[in-house]
Amino acid sequence: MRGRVNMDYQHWILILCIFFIVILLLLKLSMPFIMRSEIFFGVRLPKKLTNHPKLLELKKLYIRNNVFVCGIYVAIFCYIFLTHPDNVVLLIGIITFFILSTVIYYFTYKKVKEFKKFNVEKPSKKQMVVVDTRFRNDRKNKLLPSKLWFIIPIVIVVLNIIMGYLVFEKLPIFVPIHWNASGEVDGTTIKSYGLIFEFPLQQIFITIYMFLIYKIIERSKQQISSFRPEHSREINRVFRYRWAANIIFLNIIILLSNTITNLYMLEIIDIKFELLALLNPITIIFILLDILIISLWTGQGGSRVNIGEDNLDTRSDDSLDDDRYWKLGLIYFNPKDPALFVEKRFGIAFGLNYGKKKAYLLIIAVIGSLILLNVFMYLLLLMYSV
Amino acid sequence: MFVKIDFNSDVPIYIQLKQQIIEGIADGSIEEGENLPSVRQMAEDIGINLHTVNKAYALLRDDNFILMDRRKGAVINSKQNMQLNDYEEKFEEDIKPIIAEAYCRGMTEEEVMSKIQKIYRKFAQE
Repeated sequence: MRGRVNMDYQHWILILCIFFIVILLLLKLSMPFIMRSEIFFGVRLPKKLTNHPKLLELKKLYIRNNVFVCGIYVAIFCYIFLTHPDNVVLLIGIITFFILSTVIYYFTYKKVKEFKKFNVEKPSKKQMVVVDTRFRNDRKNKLLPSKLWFIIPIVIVVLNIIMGYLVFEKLPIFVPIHWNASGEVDGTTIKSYGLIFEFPLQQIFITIYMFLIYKIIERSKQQISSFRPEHSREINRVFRYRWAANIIFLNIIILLSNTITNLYMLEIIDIKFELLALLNPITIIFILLDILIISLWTGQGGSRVNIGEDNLDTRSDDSLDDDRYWKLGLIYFNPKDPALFVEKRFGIAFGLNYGKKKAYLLIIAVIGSLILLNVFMYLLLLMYSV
Repeated sequence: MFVKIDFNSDVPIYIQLKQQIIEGIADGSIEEGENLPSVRQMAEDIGINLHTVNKAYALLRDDNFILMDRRKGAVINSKQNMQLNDYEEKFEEDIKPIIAEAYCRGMTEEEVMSKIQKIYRKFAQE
């Protein structure tokens, strides 16, 4: 008989939900600090404007608006959520938060556009794009950590399967697979070999997604500032290296968290149900905090990476002004660009080129694969159980 | 090496790309045996059509600057293989309109010679 549930953990879940939205707010507030110096609130600035005093003013305005509008909104939301703890309230609350923060962003974006229009009478004579031919195959300064690191998640999956196989004999005929909020079993399945693959299958899917993100980090379009190519290339490399390493790290963390649940189901470990119920929310918050920390440490495109030499090449020309392909400064839409993945302008890490059909196929494929995963998981439970 | 493409230039992009790579070979910023990015990757990084990159690579291959290897992709050729017997003729043809323009614009022989020397020495010292 597993330990009875004490209702305290539900309070913990509420607290974690509030933690979640507060971290979202912190992420939004950190945006002006992680932007590339040449791209300001989704607008590409020419060299002569990158140190303009007006920019600091606009940054402050964004933060002030965010603290007032989003900050007060989050406070009100927390109050409502604590008095009406409900999934629907949480979901609507988070969606509203994203809409509000986008509106605040847009307000600043428009001001920056006006500022640029006012200060740049005509487009610069040269519109440069700089590309490094060694970016992805530099032996000394690797772009990404070795993909051999993915052996660790694979080993975790294999261990899960082996453990499931070893304890299979000892499992009861009816294995509990679902628990209600107070920790009582409300779903069981007849023991089958499919059962031991239930969690490993999820783990394999997660690892495949993570590996694809790792590949995207490698493949994504180079974005080297023409003002100081050497410096820009190097901070860009560090940026990609750290994110790829972080993806592998998060993959391992998620798999370990998933393994604990698996071990509980296989009755190998007996932890308190409260702890198990808090495992997923804690993992999600851990991931968000991790993203926040890596972002502040590295900056978008490596803008916060400090590598010493930082002298502006005075002879350099202005970069290609690609603002018109960035709808609202947020969404890249350029059918003529063969690149599918680009660094986000306002935000963290990489995004899609929505001007390409492939982008939509990819979105459908991801949703499709999630449905497929659930179908597989269901089919596994039916195996041998008839 | 850094390839710098000007989207506002009158010179077509495939010519710019070709010239930049030749310059990179000359000043040693890209070495014999080194790989160029694949056509697709190069096109994605610059943000241009695949055919444009293909055209530049094909020209470089035809002029023996790079080798196309089925497995390794585009690889920089050795300097010996880049030598041509009848290059002097082509050189004269290529430089004639430039010198003609310089003459019309009033550059003296010494000025032209010293410019050429300066550029040549920049490549030769590498």
